[in-house]
Amino acid sequence: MEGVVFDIRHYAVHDGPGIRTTVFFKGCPLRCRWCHNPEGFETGPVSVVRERSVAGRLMPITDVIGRSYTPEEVVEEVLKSRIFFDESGGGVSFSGGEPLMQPGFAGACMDLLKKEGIHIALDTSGYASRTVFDLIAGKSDLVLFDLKHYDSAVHQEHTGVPLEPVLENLHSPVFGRVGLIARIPLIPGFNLAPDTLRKMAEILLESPVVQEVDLLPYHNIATHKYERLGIDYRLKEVKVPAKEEVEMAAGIFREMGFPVKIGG
Amino acid sequence: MNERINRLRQNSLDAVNRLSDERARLVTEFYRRPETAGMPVPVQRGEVLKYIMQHKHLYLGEGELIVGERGPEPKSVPTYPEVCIHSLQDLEILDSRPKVSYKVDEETRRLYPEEITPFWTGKSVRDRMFSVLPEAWKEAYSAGVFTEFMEQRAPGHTVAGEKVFAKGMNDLIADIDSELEKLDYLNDAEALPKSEALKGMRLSCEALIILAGRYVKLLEERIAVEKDAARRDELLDMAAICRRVPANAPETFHEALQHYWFIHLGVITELNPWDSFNPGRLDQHLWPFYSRELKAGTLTKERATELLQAFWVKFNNHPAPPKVGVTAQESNTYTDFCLINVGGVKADGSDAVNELSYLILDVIEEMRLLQPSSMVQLSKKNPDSLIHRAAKIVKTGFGQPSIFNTDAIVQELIRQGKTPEDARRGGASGCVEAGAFGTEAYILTGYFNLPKILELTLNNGVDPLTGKQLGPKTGDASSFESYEEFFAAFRKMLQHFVDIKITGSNIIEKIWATHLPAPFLSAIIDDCITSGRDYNAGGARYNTSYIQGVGLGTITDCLTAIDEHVFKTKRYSMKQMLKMLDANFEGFEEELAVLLYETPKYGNDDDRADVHVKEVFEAYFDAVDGRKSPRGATYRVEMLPTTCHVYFGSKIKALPDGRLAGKPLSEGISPVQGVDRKGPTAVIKSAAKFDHIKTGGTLLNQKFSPDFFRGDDAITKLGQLVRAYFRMDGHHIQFNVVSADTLRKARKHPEQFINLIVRVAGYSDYFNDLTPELQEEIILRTEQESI
Repeated sequence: MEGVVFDIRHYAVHDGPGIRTTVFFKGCPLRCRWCHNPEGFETGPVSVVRERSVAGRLMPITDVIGRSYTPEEVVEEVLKSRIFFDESGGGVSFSGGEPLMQPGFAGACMDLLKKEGIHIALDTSGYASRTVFDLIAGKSDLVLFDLKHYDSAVHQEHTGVPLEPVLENLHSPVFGRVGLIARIPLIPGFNLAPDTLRKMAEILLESPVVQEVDLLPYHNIATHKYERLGIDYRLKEVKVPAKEEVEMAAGIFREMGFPVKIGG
Repeated sequence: MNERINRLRQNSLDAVNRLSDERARLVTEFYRRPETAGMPVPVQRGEVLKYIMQHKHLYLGEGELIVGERGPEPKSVPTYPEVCIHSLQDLEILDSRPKVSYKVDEETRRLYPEEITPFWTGKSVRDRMFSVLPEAWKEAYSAGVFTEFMEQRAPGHTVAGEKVFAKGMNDLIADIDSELEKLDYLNDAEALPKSEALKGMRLSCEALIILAGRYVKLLEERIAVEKDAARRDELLDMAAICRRVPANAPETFHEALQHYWFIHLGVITELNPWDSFNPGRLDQHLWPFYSRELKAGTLTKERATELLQAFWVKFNNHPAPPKVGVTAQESNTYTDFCLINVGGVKADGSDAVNELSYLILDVIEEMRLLQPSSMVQLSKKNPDSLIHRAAKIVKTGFGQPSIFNTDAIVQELIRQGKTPEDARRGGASGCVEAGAFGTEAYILTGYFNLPKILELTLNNGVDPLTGKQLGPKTGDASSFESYEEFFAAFRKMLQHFVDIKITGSNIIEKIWATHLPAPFLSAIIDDCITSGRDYNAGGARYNTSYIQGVGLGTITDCLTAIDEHVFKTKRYSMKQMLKMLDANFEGFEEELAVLLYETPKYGNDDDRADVHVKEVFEAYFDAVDGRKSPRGATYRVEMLPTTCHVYFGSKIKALPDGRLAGKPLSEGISPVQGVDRKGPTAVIKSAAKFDHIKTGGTLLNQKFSPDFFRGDDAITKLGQLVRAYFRMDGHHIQFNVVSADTLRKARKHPEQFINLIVRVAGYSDYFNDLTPELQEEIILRTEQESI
């Protein structure tokens, strides 16, 4: 069995507890306008041209983003950081793209890592069939679950998919046994407004097992990735949220009783 | 900091580095006296220290709490003509060079050619050395195969032990007298030289008492005219302190600091030892005084802080003695490598962290001075709060403190034969060098250019820079049929030049022992008194000579490139490779791109490269470790460069890893600048693959952008990263927390970044004081970005 992965990053310190290694799965059913990993959109490998310095001159080279891995290869790479997991209470994070787009492959990686005793976090949009979600989330120790909006029409417009399957998976029976952290991207002009955030918080209140809310303020550092990939970036004009706006958002969730972390 | 400290600190920062001819004048005067010639050498050395202490100008600064300067005023640096003579041209270079300059006045320029140079020519250690060193040594030295530490500065590289804080000069004199009494001229053939060595030590202790006595007088003169009552009381206290120490063992916190400072001045006035001198485990040494006085109510935390801060200023007032030529290139900095140790374990192996450890860290953070350097010893037994506190200071981005693995240091020292207790009383000094404090003479003899050995092997012993047959003919490189055959030739070349280096070091060591012993340093380092032998002659309990390997990342990547492309895949023949190197890759841009970007590189936790770091380290270790020197020392290896990787790089043409001719080599055990692409955990894993326990120190530099440290959580994880490295026996890690953008701006607008301090290699320095090559190199070192 093989799957497509576009990066395996060690010393990831913002995607779950401790020092982690993040495996980025290629392919995503969503097309969030603010996405900072657009190289994860398509399922197959993509070629990009970049420049590298050779003897002081910049030479263009073609780079392929994404390649096939067997689960064993993924595990071998992940386990290189084992001593850091041990020292910090860290582990592996599956991110993307959307790991649930490759459920068989993701599940096989997780089974092998479980055998090694590695803590597994799943960073997901929550957009998948209930069966796939329960199966893969059920193999994890912790799910970092994205919630982007409360309104399905707006959600559809800005992410390309409806909200309902996401909400359904938020109530998966695996939660309780598996930890659940809600992650909310704060996107100006999309959800960074008190009323919107309050309604999102109410959705989260319906799930009794959300242990923490991570707020991820929008940033525009991915602009160059869009250029390189030749994808139109529609948020060029959007400004990074001010500190007060982020604090306002945090206040809303804190008021409703959630522990809040900014930056995840 | 309070107003006084602020002023003292600012005065120190503003003081101009200048050269003082006072010491050179006094030493020459003394040696000119007819009676000097008849004295045994150690007695000359004891007497000359007395002569200097009797006649030197005494400085007493406004508001000072701790007295004593080596020169006539802060940052005024003496010279040591008995070690190395500065020519008029040297003086002019020192005065006018753009970086690390020392102002030289007219009087000095007159005095030197008229009186100093004529007297010392042929007599200085440097002259003696170069008149007897073999031709092969001189050729290799000029070719940049190795450097020599002892050609402009004295052996030193040692640190105060507990004795320094427990005994006064009178106690040492009593110890010396008792050894003198015990001498057995009937049966001990060494009895006479021992008596001479001991008499020299005795005289040097008296010299320190003389210095303190003169300060008492000076303080009394000031008291008589001081109008401010509060200051008068302070001066009265200070005079009382100088009456007690260093003649007697200190009893109070203030006395302990003043006592150490007098001893520090004694060591650095006697000679110009590398790494100046160092109180070492300061939180341990001061703890008895601090806790006792705090309990008794005679000291407050605030007062202790103020005294420590005043102590810090003293170190900053003392830039390194001026270096010229190759020595300036290998260590081009004002820093004199006094490295304060905090944390670690006690002699019985238990956690040594105390309240003072944190107080000293506060002082480091607040003072933010170039000197003294500072470090944290982190043992598995120390609480996480220690590394957490240290990381918070690291985050402020002036490269201090660096972090050391106590448990690795202890293992290294025990492997070398120290008792567990002596090992645990130790730590690191200089850049990263492990030592048993108070009991060991661990002398760095010079840097060794590992990639140059590779270049010579590729050219069958010919130095491509000069066309000279420098080394043995180890075989035409294109005739090698396997990597193993090639590496065997490299080993042969390595052994040849290590032998030359050791030959030279053995000669130089003997010259120092014979002509320039260090009686004062001997009196304070055990067991020179009981053995009746000088520090420079093997009198210490433990004696080690280090040869420091440079360019580990570069040579690893070169070996990997040869293994992969010439022997494994046969993509290029050795002939083609040599052609590319000879052309400095001009016309071979595609091949260069392959070497740079399609070749495994050290620093990425990739065994295809990392297998060679182990291989080349072991080869170097085998060539050096365990050899014996005339004074009875054992040769060992360390992996550190100070600034020598820049100089060594200038002596090598293009290399198979894709490095262009003349460019700097990799620094410490860090990967080649910019090739580590997989983040800090991969660097750490790669670096831990060779056995640090077989070294006396390794240096790993990591650069992070400031936003990486945002939040408490990030600091915690940084601590965990360090802990993981130390679980793998990593010796040391240091962090540069400044963005490449800031550095680029600083290079463009130096005037706006006067106070920007960065981590160089085992020490911090003002960015503006670095040479352009070094500035560029630091910018290039990978900036570890958060994801």
